[in-house]
Amino acid sequence: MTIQRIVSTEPLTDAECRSLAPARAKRLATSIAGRARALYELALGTPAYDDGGATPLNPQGSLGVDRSGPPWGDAHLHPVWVYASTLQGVYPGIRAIEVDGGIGHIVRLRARWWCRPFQMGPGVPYSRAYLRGMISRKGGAGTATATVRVYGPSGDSGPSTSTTGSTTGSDALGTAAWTPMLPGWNERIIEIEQTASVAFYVGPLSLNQIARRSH
Amino acid sequence: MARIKSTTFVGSPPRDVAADASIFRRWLRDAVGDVALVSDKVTGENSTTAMRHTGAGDGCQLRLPLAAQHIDVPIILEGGGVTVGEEDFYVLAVPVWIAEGERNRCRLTVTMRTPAGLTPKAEVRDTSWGLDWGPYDGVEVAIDDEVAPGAGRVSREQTWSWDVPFVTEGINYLCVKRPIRYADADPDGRLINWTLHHLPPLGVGGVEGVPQAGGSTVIGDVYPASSTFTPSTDHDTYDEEVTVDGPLSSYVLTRLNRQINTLWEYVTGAKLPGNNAYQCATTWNNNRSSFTNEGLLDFPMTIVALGSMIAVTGKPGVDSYTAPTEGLLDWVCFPQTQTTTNANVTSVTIVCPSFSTSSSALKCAVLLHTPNGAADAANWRFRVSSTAGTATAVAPVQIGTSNLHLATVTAIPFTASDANTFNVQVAHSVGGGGAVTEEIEILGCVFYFEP
Repeated sequence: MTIQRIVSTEPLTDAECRSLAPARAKRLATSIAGRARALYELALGTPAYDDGGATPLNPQGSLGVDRSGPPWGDAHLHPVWVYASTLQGVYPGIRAIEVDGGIGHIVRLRARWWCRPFQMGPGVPYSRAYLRGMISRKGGAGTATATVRVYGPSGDSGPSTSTTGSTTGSDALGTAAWTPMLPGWNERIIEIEQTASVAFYVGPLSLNQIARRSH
Repeated sequence: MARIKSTTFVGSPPRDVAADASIFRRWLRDAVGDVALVSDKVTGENSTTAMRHTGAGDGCQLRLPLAAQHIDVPIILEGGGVTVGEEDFYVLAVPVWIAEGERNRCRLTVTMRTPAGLTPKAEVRDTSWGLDWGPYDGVEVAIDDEVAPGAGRVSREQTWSWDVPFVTEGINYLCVKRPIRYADADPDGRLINWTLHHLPPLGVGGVEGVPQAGGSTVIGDVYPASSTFTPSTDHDTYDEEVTVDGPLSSYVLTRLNRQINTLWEYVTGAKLPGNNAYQCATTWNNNRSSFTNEGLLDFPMTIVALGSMIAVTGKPGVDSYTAPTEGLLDWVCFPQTQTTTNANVTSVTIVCPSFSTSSSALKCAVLLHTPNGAADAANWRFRVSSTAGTATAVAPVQIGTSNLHLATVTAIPFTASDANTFNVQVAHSVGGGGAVTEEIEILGCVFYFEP
């Protein structure tokens, strides 16, 4: 189907807009009228005219920005995987994970989640999933310390980083740990290591999309 | 003076922009009007109903993933079989909230260890607990086979999948059912994880889109975007500025170019082609901090499964709430005392979007089962608390005439653009401090933003 109303993504330069500049229809009209159409379809997600649409399809395969990160609109922050748990409460509840084997004791969780389609690129919002969570000292005196890493399925740590949470009660884990994320299925191993003699519980935990435009 | 704004998109045909075409007032005026239309729809300014990503010309749907939860609990019957015998359990029974405009097929996966010959079934129920879809067998993918020496397959870790249609916006109920056995038949039975996400919508034709090469062919300095996005002043161009036979004013053209640049950064979130930095500080955050009538979004957050129930209602999944010794002991969730003191049902630590916190649209709906009759739900209350505050406790509402109930906590305080630990809590409105008879089984909850 032939496009019936022009579309463009190109802005005008200073030189083209200044007084006494030649008024070239192909540049001025294409940019002004063409970008009006592009913006209409990107914002409202529907063809601007009865010619099938004239803007690229978003990562979902639909028209319009779908808030999956630039150029498809600022992304919104949200969780992609959760381990919901509680220290104590109703029976039996999904309990926080106990880590009490001494320094070096490691507990592993398998995280499996599906990431919505997004346009891949360096530092784009959905390219990373950040770990958030809580640890709670199991009892007694002293400070409980944990190091948490997120590994890829091949076992190597890759670009994942570690975070520590020091607590004499309950405390939030540090915010540094993240793992690369791809569109579609992702599987990771979350490893929690006891790094001080005081035992603790880990949970709740989650992996999250935390950027609106870029990391 | 009349501000130019298109009622519907007008656009310009290709002949208007051919080389050596005359500079018509028509294309300039129409472009001005079209840009003002888009600006008002995105921001809600100038008495325009703002778009909310609900489809059908109201912005592309977001279709966020709905659930990905790690559970890892045994699902093996224990005890002597006097009160609770081998039968079908809903090992997963959760409320699912479908955003406006997102009725769709969704892919459900459930990973379990199951004995030989066992196939779970999935079903969707409506707001009266009537059967909307299913029950249907899952499609299996074997991951790991466990075989005892000298015996056949004992158990296998499998992921089962279904394509589940959700035809109703708002609350639906998703259930996965399977027989629960004793350890002799199912020594390794385990519920490991589950996920739920939207599938791409089936095409209806007519929307083609045109792939475009990336980058820009612009030569020269690109005029910058405005540092703040102010539609009331940025996108105000008047008839007097685009008159027939009037000059093509550099002032009008420059201002219009800059207006479009600003709107481009705002809508796409991308830098202008040819620029290496953002110039507009106003960003699209859907919290009405920049525009008082901006569209507030429907936004699912996560679903948490908390326990099971016997599929044929009327029987609790354990023999006693006080001292359970028989039944599905590791995967039936209930309060053990009748007290006005709040007890944690579960906690989730999740990052919340940049939405408005002054009028919180965050909700949590908790699904529960009353195995001994609907009246048992009457005195139970649910609430959600975090460091940002505590939402008002609510009573469960019966679903149709069933023994299922939904307690919907609204206006949950939260901290925007940060991790929040939400505690879902239960208490008895009358108390008494004693042990409870088997009154409620808590099945799951869903967190979502619904303005």
